[in-house]
Amino acid sequence: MVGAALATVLVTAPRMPYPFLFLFLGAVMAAGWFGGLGPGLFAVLLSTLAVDYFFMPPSRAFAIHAEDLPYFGAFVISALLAGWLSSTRRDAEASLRRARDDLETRVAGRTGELEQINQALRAEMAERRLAEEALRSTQAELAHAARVMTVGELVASIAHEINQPLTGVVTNAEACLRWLDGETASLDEARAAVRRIVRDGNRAGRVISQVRAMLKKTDPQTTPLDVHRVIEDAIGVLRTELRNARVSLHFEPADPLPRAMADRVQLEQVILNLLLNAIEAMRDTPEERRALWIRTGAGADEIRLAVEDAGSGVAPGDRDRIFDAFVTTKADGLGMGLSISRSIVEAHGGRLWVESEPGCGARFQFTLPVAPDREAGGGPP
Amino acid sequence: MGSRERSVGEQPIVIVVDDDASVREAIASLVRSVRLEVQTFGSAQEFLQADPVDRPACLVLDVRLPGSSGLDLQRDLRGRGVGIPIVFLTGYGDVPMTVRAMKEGAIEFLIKPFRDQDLLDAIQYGLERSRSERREQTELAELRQRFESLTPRERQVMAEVVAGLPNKKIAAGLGTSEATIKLHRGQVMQKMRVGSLADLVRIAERLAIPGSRS
Repeated sequence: MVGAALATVLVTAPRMPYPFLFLFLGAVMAAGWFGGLGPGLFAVLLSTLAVDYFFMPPSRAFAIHAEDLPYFGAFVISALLAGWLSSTRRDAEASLRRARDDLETRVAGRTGELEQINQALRAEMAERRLAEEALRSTQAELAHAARVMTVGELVASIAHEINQPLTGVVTNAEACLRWLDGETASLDEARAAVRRIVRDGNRAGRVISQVRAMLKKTDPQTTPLDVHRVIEDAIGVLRTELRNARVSLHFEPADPLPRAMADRVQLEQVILNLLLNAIEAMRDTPEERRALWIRTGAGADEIRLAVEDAGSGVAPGDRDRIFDAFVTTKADGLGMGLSISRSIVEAHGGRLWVESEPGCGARFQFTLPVAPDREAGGGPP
Repeated sequence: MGSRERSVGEQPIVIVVDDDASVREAIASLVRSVRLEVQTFGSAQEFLQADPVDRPACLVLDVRLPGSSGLDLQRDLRGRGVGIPIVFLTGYGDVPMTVRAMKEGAIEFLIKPFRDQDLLDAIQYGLERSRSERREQTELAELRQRFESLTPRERQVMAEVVAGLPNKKIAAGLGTSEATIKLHRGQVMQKMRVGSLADLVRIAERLAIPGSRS
């Protein structure tokens, strides 16, 4: 390197007014850059010697005149500086490169760790999802089982609800035959009788549909519902029970009431459960005091439903306990009704609780989310 | 008697009380088809609040009604002395209720769905019973009226005659002559419109006149 620089300077020197001594500096810098501090210093030495020998008078001698010393000294210092800066720079770059490589390795390592954690997390989430699905399906099965049991409890009144229109059908048909053939033939009466047969047959059919709906095992489907219609259906199912138990029913619907987001069959199941419990609670209440209130209302972002009875009430200590599974005051009950009702309501995003003082009846309330309003208030369920 | 039955007051009527509209309307149609008049009510209360009927009548009643039950209504009517015959209907087949109903004087107890002929037969029987009961009431009223027309002395004589006492004894007991007694006796026979002592005795029994025999 130094040789090349020397050669260049020697060649060019005679042609130029000033010798290109700075080329030596370039050589030193190159040496420091590519070789490091050692080679840099060596280049400085060689450059110094060359300059001294060839370019410092007397030429071709290592002596230096005193008055040229400053010039020479400056050259030497510049060369040293150049060499040092260059080699420092090179070292810095080298260490930077090393640091960068080190960082890369570390990042790669850390990334690998994170990926592992991520995978573990994903596996956990998948497990959790499976567990949630299992829970949902167990809940649905339990709710279905409870519905089947309720149908079992109600089978006598269901049979009665079907028997009434059936009696209508048979009697109307017998009357129709007499209207057609008897002494008092009247086609109008006969026609009216047949129309009543159709009506009564359909009425029986509706009872069957309701029972079928309760027995069907379906995945819960939340849709916007008119809660009042569902309440009326439930009252219809329990008409005979209410009458036999001599309970007077007061339905106080809020007007208007926004629609709720819920699964129809499950909502009816909860209402039936609360009503049946209320009827049961008033078994020992004197007849004239047996009364049941159903009220609805809307709060901020929720629909509220309350079923209040005039029965014996719930002791303060039991107000939470009764929602636990297998807790019942019925001699032959399983005690699943309230716990299932609560889990249904909570699965919808609502709450179910009771307010009561012993001796003053009980009010069971639950909330449901409001359906996102496409149109406000009433519409078909 | 025959001509009286043609008048409006003697047209029979069937009264149906059932809280189920399907059943009510069907039975009404059936009853009309045999040319009988029919009225329907949805509860015992509605029936009691309506105007009472003064015709031969038969009640068709469901045992289970909202408010007071069919059996309660039966007892209530008996208590008021209203003797309308009752045919019970039920959607359930409970035996204890049947027994009670029959013991309290029901004509029939049918389980839904029933055969139309069974119901119509029971109704006919009930109307017959109602007719004869009303006849009995009318006759009694007539007899009572005749009895009221007797003077107190004549009533006394009648009681003793019916008890089987001879005129002489009656005269002695009342402190008059036998002839007077014979006179009174004649008046009694005339006012009571009987031809023989036996008939008089029968009337006395129907009117439940306390005799000196007791």
